[in-house]
Amino acid sequence: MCRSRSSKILPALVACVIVCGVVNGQQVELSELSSSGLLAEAGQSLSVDNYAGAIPYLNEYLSRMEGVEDDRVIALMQSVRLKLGQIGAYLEDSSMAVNYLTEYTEQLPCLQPREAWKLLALNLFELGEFPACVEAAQYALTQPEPKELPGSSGPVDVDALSKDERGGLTARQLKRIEREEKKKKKTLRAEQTIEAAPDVEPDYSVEELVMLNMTLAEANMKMSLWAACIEPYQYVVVNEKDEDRRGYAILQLITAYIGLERYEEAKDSILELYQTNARYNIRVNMALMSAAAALFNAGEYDSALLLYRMVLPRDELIVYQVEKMNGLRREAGLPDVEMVISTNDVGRVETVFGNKQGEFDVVEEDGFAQGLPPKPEELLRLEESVSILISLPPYENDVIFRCGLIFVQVGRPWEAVEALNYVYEQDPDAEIGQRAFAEMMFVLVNPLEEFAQVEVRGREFLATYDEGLAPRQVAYAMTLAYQKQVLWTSVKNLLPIIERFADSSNSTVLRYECELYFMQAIADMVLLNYFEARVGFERVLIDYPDSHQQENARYWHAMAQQFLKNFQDSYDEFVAYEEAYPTGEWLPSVVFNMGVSQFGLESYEEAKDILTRAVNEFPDDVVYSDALALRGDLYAADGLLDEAEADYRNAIASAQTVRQDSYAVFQLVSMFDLEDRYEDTVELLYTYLGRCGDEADVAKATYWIGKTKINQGLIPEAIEVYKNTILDYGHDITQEGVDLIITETIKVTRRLSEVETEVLLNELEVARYETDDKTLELRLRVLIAQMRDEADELGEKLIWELDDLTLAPPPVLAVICDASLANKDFSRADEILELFTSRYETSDFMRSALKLSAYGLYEKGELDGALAMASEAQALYGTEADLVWSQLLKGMIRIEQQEWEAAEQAFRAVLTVREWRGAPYAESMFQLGKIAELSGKLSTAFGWYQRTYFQFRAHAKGYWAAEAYLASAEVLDALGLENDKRNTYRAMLFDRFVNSLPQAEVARTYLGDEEVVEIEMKMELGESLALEEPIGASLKGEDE
Amino acid sequence: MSRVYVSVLCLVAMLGYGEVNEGMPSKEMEPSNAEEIYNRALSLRADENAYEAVQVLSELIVHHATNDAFIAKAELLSAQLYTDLALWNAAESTAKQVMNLYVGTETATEAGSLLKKIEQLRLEAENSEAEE
Repeated sequence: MCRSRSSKILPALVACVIVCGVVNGQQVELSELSSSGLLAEAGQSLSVDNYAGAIPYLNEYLSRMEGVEDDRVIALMQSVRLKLGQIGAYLEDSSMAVNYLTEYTEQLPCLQPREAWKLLALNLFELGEFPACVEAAQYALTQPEPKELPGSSGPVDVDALSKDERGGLTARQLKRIEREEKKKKKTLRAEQTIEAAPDVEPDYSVEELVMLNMTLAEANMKMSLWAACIEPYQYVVVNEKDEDRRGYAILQLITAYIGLERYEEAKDSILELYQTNARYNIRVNMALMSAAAALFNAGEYDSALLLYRMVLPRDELIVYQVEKMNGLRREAGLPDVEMVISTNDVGRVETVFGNKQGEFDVVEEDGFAQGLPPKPEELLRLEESVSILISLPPYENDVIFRCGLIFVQVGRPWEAVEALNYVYEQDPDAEIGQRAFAEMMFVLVNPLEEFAQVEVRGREFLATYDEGLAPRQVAYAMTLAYQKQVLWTSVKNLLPIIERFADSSNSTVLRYECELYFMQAIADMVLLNYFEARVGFERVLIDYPDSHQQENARYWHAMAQQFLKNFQDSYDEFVAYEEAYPTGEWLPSVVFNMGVSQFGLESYEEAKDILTRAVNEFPDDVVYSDALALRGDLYAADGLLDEAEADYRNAIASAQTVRQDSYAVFQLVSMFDLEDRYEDTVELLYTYLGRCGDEADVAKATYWIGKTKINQGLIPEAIEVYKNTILDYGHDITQEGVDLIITETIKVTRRLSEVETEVLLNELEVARYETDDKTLELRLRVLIAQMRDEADELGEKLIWELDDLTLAPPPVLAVICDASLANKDFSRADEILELFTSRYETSDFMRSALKLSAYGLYEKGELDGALAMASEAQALYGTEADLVWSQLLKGMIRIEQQEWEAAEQAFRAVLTVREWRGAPYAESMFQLGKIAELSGKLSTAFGWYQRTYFQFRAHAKGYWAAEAYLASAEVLDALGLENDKRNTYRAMLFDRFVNSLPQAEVARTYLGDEEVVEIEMKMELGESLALEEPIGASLKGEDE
Repeated sequence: MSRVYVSVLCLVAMLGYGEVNEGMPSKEMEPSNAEEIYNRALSLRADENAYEAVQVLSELIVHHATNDAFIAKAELLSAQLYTDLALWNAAESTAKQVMNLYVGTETATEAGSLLKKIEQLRLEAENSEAEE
């Protein structure tokens, strides 16, 4: 055994193999072959590119030589292992390659380690053994040195070899062959056959280093070892000559940077990639989308946009690839092809690689057409890549959709609309189309505020689609649009559409649905539809039990209860909220409203305690000022004026909004007014005006300043201030203070002389004709009409003049209401009341609208509605003088309902209120008589009628007294008291308050001309009615 | 390079190294459409119709983004149109994106100048609004 020769013997053996292979000519049974014969047969197969054919011989050789310890044989076996590894790689049998190459690299001698480790790394990658691949590639990149068997050295002594070792050749023949081989250097033929190790294995070429680095990077990438990817990819990017492959490496480098969240470096690489044409590589094109999506998700929108813009449309890519295929085909002597894309019966797009009719006439097993040259490998691979591309679902819309979303995110609204609308129009029924539409709608709402487009397109969409997420999103976008426009009624108009949506169990869908119903309930709150709002919040709480709106819905449900004056319920719900959400977002407001609810329950001490808790616990919250102001109200009601003043002043000092400031200021002013603290009032108001500037309620402040002046007897100054305020702020329909001033001015001008009044009227008339502002003009017309006592006439005019009532401020609406009621025209009652409830809820003039609506309902026979409206008016305004209509109407309604007891109670109640004395008393008393009469209590009825014409003949111009005379006569007639009846008619004609009224004709007709003349003569003589006994004296008291 | 190695190269190429790249076409071969849109947007702007102009221009930005001759200046024009429309946020966003997408170019420099102008105009508008 001469180990020293082992490494040098291979060329000789190779040559021997070649020669033997050629000589023997044909295959023989393995067992019949000698060892050298096996190598010769393998060599012969390899020489004709039959790599698979060589494997059995080489395997048999290894098997037969197993255990042989001769250095030369060991070296030869190693060479065979390397060759088998190479064959495995060539035949794409990576398992085989890895097995032999692993054996080769684990044993000695290992004379071609660079080739072995390189192939091992590549094939381990193919097998998906990435950690081992990384090890192999890293080792290969160290440029490993060959390893001899221990102690081997020197050239092969051919003369010392046995005949068998010489493969049957002579030593001379071998030497000659060796010389010839050296001359050939490394020809292709030599590389294709079993060869010995070169004298020195060369360093890797740049191409090989690129390949190894790419393999190393890819294996690390597969294991998401981003940091380990960077350096090898960078090597490829710098050294790869092929632009396609370089582009791919840049893209992978970008992916690694994204993985490492090194976005700046990713962006630099993207800009580099943008300069290449790598996008025309199919795989790169596809991978761009993944990388772009990752950047999008990371919020790196600029970089993502660059990548998305590099993605080529599929058709463009195919056209390019077909052109490339034809180039390869021409080189191979094949005819050009055309791309055919068709749709079969099941709608699938198919591709025929244009291989024109003749090419596929007769197809052989390998897929090549008869009579044509075979397709090159590269062409086949290209065809396969394009097939994959064609089979992918369309991606262009996805790319444009993503670009649209990027424009949304970065705030480029019109670009977003263009992209998203395009995607929708491409496929409106597809999920992506619908998602795009919904996203577009949100952009049209905010920031573009294209509300008309939102309305038209949203309605159109919702008329077509009712399933899944998009319709909910579109409805939500429309809700937001209405919200921005303060069109809460329009929000409510969406409800029927929302209720028609197909059921879904998808959590995102349910989230939007819940939000929609929540907003519906909020709309009801804003529209003051508290009952509906309560129902709406209940729906959210019950139908969406674990929703994101639970906490909000609970709070607002309690608020709705409070607005409905269900104070115990609202209080209980606020308490329950605190238990459920002890640190909830609404907690300060909840505690404050617990106090409000207790206030509503008239539990003032409890209310005070809770408000004190709010004051102590939430000094920085917005409710702090409210809590102080309301506690101030409670102190003031208790007569604790110092405490009240302190709270109001603290409320002013801590106010976070002008509303809070204004409330506390005007409450304090009201208190000062009661105490005649004029200087304090003026000081407080001027400080307030200076503090709040334009946001202050200037008109209301001026109203109080004027009122103070009036109280001080400074009437002309007060009127001057009022007039100027009306002219300065009368154009602003929201300035309710101006309306207060108008009312106050009307009262004060009664204290002016006729001349002063005329001067003022002239000034107001001039201002009225000079102004272009409709609201100011209307206010001035009302003021002037009221001062001239022509309000009813103005109201009648305005009913026809004003189509659009939204420009009419509350006093104008009030005169329209009064005129409408006088004419029994209820056609605009609902419209006006809606305006008050939605815009001027706190206006004092709303009482006119309530009155008109109540009578409108009464006229329509909607008695319960009318009753409720009357009760609401009383709840708002109590028993103020002009509210008597509400109580009288209640009585009338009860009569209609034949609820005699309730009717009697209603009219008796009128008689208990001092503010309602006068005509209402007369009417009530008459109606009490009517009720008694209708319930068969004729004596009682007579009593009420008689009291009416005795006590209230001067009221209502004698109307009720006259009615009472007539009714009384009828009752006496029914009782058979003919003489009393006659005397009643006589008394009526003697009564100067009623005898000229139309009703008196009934008495005249009954008595006859002669008696009437007699009465008239007596009256002229100053005589009065003389009776022997009073009318009805025979009646012995009340009915049983 | 051995044939085995060539085979492996091809194998790996199939995995993503890509095909041989020959005769790569330019990014967009037909600029006429983009040019037409761009000019139409310019014309609309000249007619003080920035509202329509920005919508027209969006078509170019979305559908002709690979047209190197027009995309950068179209995006810059978009920022100017948003400025005309006093859509300050959109104007700022667009100008910033132009600066980021076209780093080191004349267009990016112009976008930087525009950004300063937008900030100034926005401030003036806000002050004027506050005064009103």
